[in-house]
Amino acid sequence: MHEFEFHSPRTLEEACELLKKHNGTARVLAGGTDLIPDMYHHKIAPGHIINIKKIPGLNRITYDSSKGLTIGALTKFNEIIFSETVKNSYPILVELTSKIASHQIRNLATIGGNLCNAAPSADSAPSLIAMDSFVSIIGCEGKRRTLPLEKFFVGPGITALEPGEILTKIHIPPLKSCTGMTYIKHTTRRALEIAVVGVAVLVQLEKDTDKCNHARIVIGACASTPLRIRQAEEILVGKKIGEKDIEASAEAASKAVAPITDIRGSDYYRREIVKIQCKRALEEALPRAYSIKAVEA
Amino acid sequence: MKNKIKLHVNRQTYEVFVSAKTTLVDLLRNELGLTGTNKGCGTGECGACTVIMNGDAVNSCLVLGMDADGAEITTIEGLAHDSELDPLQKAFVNEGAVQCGFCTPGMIMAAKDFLEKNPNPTEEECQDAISGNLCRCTGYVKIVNAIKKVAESEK
Repeated sequence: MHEFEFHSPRTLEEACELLKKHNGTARVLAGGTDLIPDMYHHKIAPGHIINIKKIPGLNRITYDSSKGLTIGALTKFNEIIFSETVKNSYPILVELTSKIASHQIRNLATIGGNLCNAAPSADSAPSLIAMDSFVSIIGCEGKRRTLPLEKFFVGPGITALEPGEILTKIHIPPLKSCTGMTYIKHTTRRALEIAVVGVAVLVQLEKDTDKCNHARIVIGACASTPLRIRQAEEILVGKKIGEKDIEASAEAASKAVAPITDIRGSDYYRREIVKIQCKRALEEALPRAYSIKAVEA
Repeated sequence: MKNKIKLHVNRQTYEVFVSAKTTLVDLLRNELGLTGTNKGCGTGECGACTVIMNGDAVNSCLVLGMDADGAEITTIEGLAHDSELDPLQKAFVNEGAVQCGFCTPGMIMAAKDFLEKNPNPTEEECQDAISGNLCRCTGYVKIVNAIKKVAESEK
């Protein structure tokens, strides 16, 4: 590995200043599971590493019935999986998070790092976007802003973060009643693989009519960023979803994505997989919405 | 520039000077001479370098030595007490779960952490527990059997 200067700021202000001062040559170190192998294998060589793990309070998980769930950016995936707060308020998040990487990596990797790394295949992104999550960002002189997570991704490895800015929290609004959700990660092996295609689906039903009144379809690894497919969502909204609607929605998703050909799959293959997995995801999420409705009634 | 850090490995305290770029696996192997932890891919894919750090199994190739300052670490060398092997080590020997042996320390450390947290696992949970560890002799069946044996014997 190359030589670099290692900084361990104790406050966010200090971290933002360091990032701004060394803009272009500095990288934030959180879990390190993407950054360290990239440096080790000489893919990148930042001159300054800003370790944010000594800054207190960045890994808190809090729940509030009106605001929803707030997860500190430095929270490790396994801290989410084993959190009583998450288990009680967003059990679906435990299932979604368990599909990420391996046990050892989930003991290191953070949710904020996964988002800031901005891989189009990032496993946490599609589900969080489907839940209409938004992020808190802090910059120099304590300037704070929030942004819908969907807008946070700009391109492969590129986020909306400006020089000197750090992602601090992820907010997930309260899940509405009669909502079913799933994330399908399409891989050739069962574990420790980068998604060939990731499909997150969320459907919400109207209590009395069973008509879909809210839908989210978000695809990972099929464009330069995780992609919300509005055309596919619109097909479902206002209908009592049947087999034909599911097929039409999956077809629309498959048309809307813009995948590349790489070692894990061709663009043609990915489009076909989007169609199949989108259908399966809807077929899985819909009964979940019905059973949640039954429990709530 | 080297920085002084203090870490606790296998119930022993070490004070060492490390450069920022040194990963924990290199620190353990080259500075402390604990070569039981193997280094495979260096990207967190193979799990050969798995150690338990502050109670959690981690890939030591993904951790900077600087980040291990103050940490409590257990490596494969720390499992046996005096000359008595850990039940997992015994089970790996008895079940024939070791072929070339390269993945074994990582497998055992991942399994150790897993059984601490889930003492009554199903077979599928045992498989999931070592899904971050590659065995290129592909002897997974016997490895899973060994982990299950330990779980059953401690019931």
